[in-house]
Order: sequence, then structure tokens, then C-alpha cells
Amino acid sequence: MAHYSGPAHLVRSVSPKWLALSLLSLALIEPATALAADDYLHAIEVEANKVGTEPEVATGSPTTPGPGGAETPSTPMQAFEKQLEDRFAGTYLFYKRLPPGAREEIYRQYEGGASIEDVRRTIMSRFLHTR
Amino acid sequence: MLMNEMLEGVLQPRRCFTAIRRAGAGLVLAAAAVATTAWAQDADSIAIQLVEGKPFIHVLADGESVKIQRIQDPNYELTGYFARTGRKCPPFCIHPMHVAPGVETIGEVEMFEFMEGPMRDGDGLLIDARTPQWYEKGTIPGARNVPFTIFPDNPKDRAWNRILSDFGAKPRGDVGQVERTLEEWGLMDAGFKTEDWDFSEAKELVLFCNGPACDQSPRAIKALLGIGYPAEKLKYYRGGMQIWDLWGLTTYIPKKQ
Repeated sequence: MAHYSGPAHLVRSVSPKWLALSLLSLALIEPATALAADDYLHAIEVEANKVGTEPEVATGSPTTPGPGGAETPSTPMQAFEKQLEDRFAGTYLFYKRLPPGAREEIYRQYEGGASIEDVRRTIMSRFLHTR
Repeated sequence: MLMNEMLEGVLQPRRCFTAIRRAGAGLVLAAAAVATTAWAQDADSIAIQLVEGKPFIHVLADGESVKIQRIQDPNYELTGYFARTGRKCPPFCIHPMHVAPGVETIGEVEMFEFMEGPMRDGDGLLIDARTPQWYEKGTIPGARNVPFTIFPDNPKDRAWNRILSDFGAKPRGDVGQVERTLEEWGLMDAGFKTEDWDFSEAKELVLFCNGPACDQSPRAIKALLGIGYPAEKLKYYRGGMQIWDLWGLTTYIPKKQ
């Protein structure tokens, strides 16, 4: 009996479940990388909003910082809310409808290292359960 | 006496010109003496120098001369964003000293030498690799903003053409197979050449970002290495804005474009 071998045979011999898992893994690699890059960009944006400016220094001027450099005009939580408003306007609308305690809880979740996706899920969950 | 000579020189031009030359030389010497004295007095007032014998340097930023020196108040303590000791890691983790093989990590003294050497001569560029949002809040004088985000992932992306041309690299165009083979065999000097780019006259780049916990300039450096930019022509100022600020060095807020 001839033993057939070739690509068709290999495909038939691979379990559909493993084939599906492999294809799913390949499909997720690139989006995961893009998401990681996006997360980093978001992180540095949030940090940039924490940087104070020297209001008394004109632009186009060198600065030699004096004592007591200017603090950032916004708190970290305000910076987080601004980011949310700029990047996820829809989610931000739901966020603003939450009571102050819930908003504080969500900000603490974010500050504790949760991803923006987890935070958005929490916002929607809180909003639906407070209606 | 000089005036007499000049009056006589009306009828005797040669004596007139000699008198004028003497007067001119005297004026030049006097001006040089005044300038040297002013510099010396300025330098004398600089107790905290950049390095011994170098109280300050000047660089061009937005077309104007900017003096880089250190804060002279010995009691000054750093405040603000760069005074913080830690941020979340990841993503803001401490980076190793060496960003990539062959890329030299430099400090402030090397920065001053670079600013007074290759940068001033046009053979080098100081690159602030942070996003514009960071750059606009203050940078190192003389730095050009080339955010790490502009480097394409695809080496064939045409955006590389403008970026690398700005850095002095030249596209190779069609290179014959014979020449390519000779280069591969080492029979023809490939120098700083890749398949698509000739980096022989590319500028030396010093890249920096926020400091030892910032990944923006390392990402930029790796992107440039990936396209073939010679490692010997890339330098990593690891200290970045944080250490630059820590030393009380002059920062510059760029003019809005």
C-alpha cells in the first residue's frame, strides 16, 4: 500500500483544534505588539502632562532653573481624566456620570498599574450597575 | 603725531596708508583687549564651571547663540518632574549603560566636546528623540527634535528617504551585481554602505531622551541601526534631561513653529 505524504496529508493529520489555535496565535501577535507600542505612547503622554512649565520664561529662551521650579498645573488624576477624554471620548462620557467615589476608585485602579483597556471595562461595568 | 602723518599723506598716499594701517591695528588690539577682559571677568564670576578651565560654552539654538553654563547657587536643590526618584517600572525601568553593540554611551563632558566640535562644524547633530510634547517643555540647547515615533518599521518605507538624507546619508540607487559581489567578498571597500544607503558622509548623531529610565532614544537608536546607520556614528547620552537638569545645566524652551 502506497504511503501518501505531502502537504494535504499533513493538513489532514493536524487536529483542527491545534490548527485553529495556531492561526489565532499568529493573528494576535501583530495586534499585541501594536497594543504594547500604543500603551507605551500613552504612558509617556501621561508623564508629559505631569511636567511643569516655567510661566515666567519666554519661549525661545534659555532657562537656568531657579529654586522652586513651577509645579504642574494639574493633578495626576486630572491628567488621567484629560487623557481619557482625549483618547476615549465615549468612555469618558460614561466616566463623568459616575459618582466621585467610583471615579476615585477607577483612578486608583489605573494608578496601580491596570491597563487602559481594563480601566475602560471597569468604567462600563460601574456605569451599568449604577443605573 | 598720527594725524600729522595722515595730513602729510594727503600728498603722499603711501605714508597715509601706513598711518591708517597703524591706526587700524591699534583699534583691533584695543577691541581684543576689551573683549578678553570682559570674558575673563565673566569667567571669573563663574565659580561652578562646566569642567576645569571651561566656565561655559555657546551653541546655536533656533539661530541664536545660547550660553550653556551651570547654576551658580551652591545651595540650589532640584525640584519639579526630574527631581522624582521613581516612576512605574515597567515601562519606565532603569536602562543598561550600553544600548546596543558598537554604540558609545557618553556623559556630559563628551557632550560639551561634541557641541564644540562636530556639532559646531556641521558634522554632527544633537537629537532629542522624545515626542514633541516633551521637547516643547524644554530641551538641551542646540538639539533637534526627531521623535522616535517617526522611524518606520518597514525599511522600504519612503519616509526613510527624507530622514536619512537629512542626516547626510545618500541613497545608492542601482548598484551593479559585480560591485555588490566584490563588496561582499571584501575585495571592494564597502565602508559604511548597505544595499540601499551610503552612510560614508552621514553625520555623527548623539541621541538622548528623558534619562536613564527613558526608552525613547534607545528605540530611536535601534531603529537607525536597523536601517543600517553605522553604530560608530551613533552615540547615546544616557543621562538625558534628568541628569542634565541635575547638574543645573542650561535648558532651552524651543520657539513655537
